[in-house]
Amino acid sequence: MEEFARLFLELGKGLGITLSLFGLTLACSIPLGFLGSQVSLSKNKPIKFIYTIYLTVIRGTPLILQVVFMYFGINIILIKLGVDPRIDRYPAALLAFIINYTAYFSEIFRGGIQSINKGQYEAASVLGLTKRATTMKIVIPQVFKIVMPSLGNEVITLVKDTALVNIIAVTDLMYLTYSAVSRDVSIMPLFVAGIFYLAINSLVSAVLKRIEKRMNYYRI
Amino acid sequence: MNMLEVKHLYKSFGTTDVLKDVNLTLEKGEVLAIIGPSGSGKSTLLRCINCLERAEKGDIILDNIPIATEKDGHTEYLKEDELRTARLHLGMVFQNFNLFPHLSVLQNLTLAPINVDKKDPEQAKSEALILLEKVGLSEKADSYPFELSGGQAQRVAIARALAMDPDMLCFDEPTSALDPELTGEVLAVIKDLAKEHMTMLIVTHEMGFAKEVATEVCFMDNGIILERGKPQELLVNPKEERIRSFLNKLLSV
Repeated sequence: MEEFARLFLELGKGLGITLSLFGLTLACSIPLGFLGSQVSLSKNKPIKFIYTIYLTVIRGTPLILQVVFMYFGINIILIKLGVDPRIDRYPAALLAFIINYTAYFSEIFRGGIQSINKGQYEAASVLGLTKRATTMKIVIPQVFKIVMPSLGNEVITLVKDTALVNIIAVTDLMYLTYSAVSRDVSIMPLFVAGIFYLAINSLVSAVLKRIEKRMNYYRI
Repeated sequence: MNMLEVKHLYKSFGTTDVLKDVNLTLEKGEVLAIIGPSGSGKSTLLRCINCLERAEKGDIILDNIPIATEKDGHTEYLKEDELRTARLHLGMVFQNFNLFPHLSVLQNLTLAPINVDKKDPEQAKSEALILLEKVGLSEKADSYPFELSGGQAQRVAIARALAMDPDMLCFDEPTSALDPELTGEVLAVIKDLAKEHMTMLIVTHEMGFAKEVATEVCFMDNGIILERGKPQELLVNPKEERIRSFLNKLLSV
């Protein structure tokens, strides 16, 4: 029991990094993903083409590969170029996560926007609403309701994906867990880590459920 | 005074000519019903007048504002901002209502007055309540569209169009998506508007209604207006054989 408490405190020190990685990725990827969906739906062919390449590469390769690339790959390139400023472990991980999750959110939003009935745009337009007002007042509120379940799935996945950053020695919850396992030769840290991740996701699920419930006042 | 003037309007989708030389004038206070078989271009005509579709040739003059003008064989519309303002002279009621599902009935009515006309929210609200009373739905102000029957939804949609105080209303088959027993309540609202001399352009399949409410009726077929006349003449004793066979088909079902 004492060991349990000690491990809780020890591994808990990694929670800050895990949670900040989670929070910052979400805070950046959701708005960026929405912007990205606008690119996907735009009529500018060259930009759309480049964006499609980005989506294909990011969604077609493992996140862990992207994390390793963002740290080791970029630093090797910087060294070869003789550039001094290096990219640090945590920013590299965060950047890789934002780039990755933006791609997924972007596709979720694109699907949501495309499922809005054409009649909604027409009604807004005959009432004289500008494009901007239509997006803000008509499209976004409805899109969020539509995409909430898929968005929720990604958010829960993100909590667990943060564990990948231990590959570049970011001292997150998983990294500390791994260190404790190999040091103590004990499976105890694995259970403690599991409890932490479960606790975070229970909280996240509760919040998501609440948001979905709040948007339940209407049906599309 | 002409509220609407459409001259030599032409529109195609791909290789299909949907409108071929449509000419139409509508005087202030007039109620014009457009009838005709499906695929004859009725809805497209309405959508071109509303600028939901862009005509390729011809002119559209709305309330003395040339919103679309043909130059060198090609129709040019006003710039986006000017067009947006000009279109406010025109209200539109859709077949599928197109209410905003995330907004309450009252918010559906006040959205455009507040955002487009920059009306004071309280004033917009009280005006909206008057309109809801007019269409007999005061008690539904705080309901959401999914809680309404089709007939109620369409009456809200009419009130929403009226909230922008248009000079003219367009209806695109306003009762076609409704259960038969619900069409009456919508038609009654349109009838009331006709009594107030609202200028209206109504695409409809309700011949009885057209006969009763319209000042004139147009029969469209194959992208042109085949005949226009008083409802009693056109619907009872049409000159064109095409119209006779269309009306007979309707009666025989």
